[in-house]
Amino acid sequence: MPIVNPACNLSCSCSKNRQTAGMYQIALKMLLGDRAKYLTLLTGLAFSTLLIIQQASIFCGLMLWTTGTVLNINVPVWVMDPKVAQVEDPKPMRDTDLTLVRSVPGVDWAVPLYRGVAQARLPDGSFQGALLIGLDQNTLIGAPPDLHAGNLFDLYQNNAILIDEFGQRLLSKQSGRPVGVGDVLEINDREAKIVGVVRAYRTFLGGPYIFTTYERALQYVPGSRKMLSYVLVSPQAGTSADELAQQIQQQTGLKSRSNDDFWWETIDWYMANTGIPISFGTTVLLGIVVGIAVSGQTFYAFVWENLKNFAALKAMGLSDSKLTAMVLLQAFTIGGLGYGIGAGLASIFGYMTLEKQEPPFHTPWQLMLFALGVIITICVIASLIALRRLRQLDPAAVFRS
Amino acid sequence: MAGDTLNHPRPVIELHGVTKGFQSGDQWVPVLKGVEFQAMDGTLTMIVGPSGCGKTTLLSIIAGTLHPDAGHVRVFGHEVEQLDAHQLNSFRARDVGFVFQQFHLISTLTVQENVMIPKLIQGASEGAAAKAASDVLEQVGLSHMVKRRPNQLSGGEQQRVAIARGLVHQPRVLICDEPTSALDSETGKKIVKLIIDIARRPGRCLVIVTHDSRIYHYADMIAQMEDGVIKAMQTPDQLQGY
Repeated sequence: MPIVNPACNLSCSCSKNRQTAGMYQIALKMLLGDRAKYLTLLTGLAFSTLLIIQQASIFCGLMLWTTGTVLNINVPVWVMDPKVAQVEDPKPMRDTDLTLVRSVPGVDWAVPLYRGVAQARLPDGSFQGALLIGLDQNTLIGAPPDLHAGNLFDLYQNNAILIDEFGQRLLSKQSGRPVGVGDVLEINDREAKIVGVVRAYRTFLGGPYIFTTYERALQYVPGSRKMLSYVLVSPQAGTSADELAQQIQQQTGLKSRSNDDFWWETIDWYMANTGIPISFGTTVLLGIVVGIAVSGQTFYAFVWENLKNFAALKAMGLSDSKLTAMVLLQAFTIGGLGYGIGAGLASIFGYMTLEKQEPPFHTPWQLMLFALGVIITICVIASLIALRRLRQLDPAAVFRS
Repeated sequence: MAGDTLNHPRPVIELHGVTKGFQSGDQWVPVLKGVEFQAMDGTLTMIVGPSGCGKTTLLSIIAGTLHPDAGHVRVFGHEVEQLDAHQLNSFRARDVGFVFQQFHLISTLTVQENVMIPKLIQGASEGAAAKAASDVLEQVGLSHMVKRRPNQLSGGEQQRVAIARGLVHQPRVLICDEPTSALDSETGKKIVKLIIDIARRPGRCLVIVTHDSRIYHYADMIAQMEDGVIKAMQTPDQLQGY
């Protein structure tokens, strides 16, 4: 006798789809109906997501700060003294090194850059340490492109400087009045007139950026035999930045890096020489552990407590694959909701910190994807452990008390 | 036609030479040792016997939740022991209704949603499942409690929900495992009477495993099990003194 008689359409595809939809609804009701467990799961996963995204975003923000100068200057190739390990620790080179670099085949242009620290004196008499950047007088290459106020070419005026938005806020706060274009500072007893405010990445060192011309920057700081911090270079058409960097290094004996490589090298230096990655890595790990400990275990307990119900469903004719799909749906639903809430809370935190500019906060899309991956992995691992038990479940177990 | 079936019932559940054993540590423990059993269409058969005699294992084999080690199991024409996993799922979803000792109602679902489950497993639409659930809940006298959760019901009411769930998809076999053991005496009797009133009919066979001798007289036939075999198949009258 055939198992499926003509009156029954249990095996037809529309019937299977209806079964799937119906049982998925039951699965969600099983999950959402147990408020206490549902909220525990949700809280655990949301908290885990929040910890991962928030801490990792602060870490990424800090890393952006460490590379602020590379990002602000943003040229194809950096040439520096061979002992330089990261952007904020330049070793002065001879002025003749600029000519040496210019002589390398494949160089389109090469300009000098000064990077140093200066004390800015405000009108009220207070001092503020600042990162002084001296740009090539002729081209102003390396100036941040996004001007918030003023005019870049006003840098050609006497004693002209640009400050960044953070510097503007800091100086305004310290002097108790709005500071902006037209205001005058003193840098090492020399007058410095603000002619523009730029949007720039902040520096890890905490102070504002002051941009001026190379020659003027040298006037602002005590002189020494060697003052050239970096040579900024662009390759001719047909030569890549990496190729040119390699060529300059070989021909001049100076260290040369493409913008991307210098950015990563700076980050690698901070990773290797500071406690930042350990500190933040530990907190991110804590987020993962919280996720596994709270949510993984709670979800496993949820499935475990429902084993008898699942056995009853299995006895009533529900297939293993459908039961698996039900459990995975529950896992992905709770994972998705927990992730959404956690990511939302992290975004609110990020929005608030971005308004204040502190602590640094940067959330690349890869981080969001990473956090989602971690949360989904937690849910999948918890489900797989529970499903292993479910697969072994004998439907006849439902008859045992 | 129906009356004819009742007057001349045909066997719809037949077991011949069924054996089943389980591994327990190093030992193989035989539980069923060549069971011969049959139940007639439109009747209520109770399987009785001491604990550990194999009643539940026999019930599981009839329901298709356990494979026998040997022997033949025929249920409404299906050779159950020959069905593969997919066919067994279809068989149980379509032809078997369950009433469990511990009810196994899902606490986070409403009464109606619990009862809808067998229809949803069959692939019925939500609307059709809800309609069927409402109809059968009315039959068991719980139409006013469809939106309640199982933990808001008494034991007797929960068992009535379980009966409704066992019958909602019109199965040909209703399997009841100790349906009165979690209930007081009076409620237990009412439950068995309810099962008989709404479920015993031509084209369907009821099989109840029970320890409860107070409900024996409701059975059409009683299978006495002992040490893994059916010792006797008797009517309640014949069983006096058991």
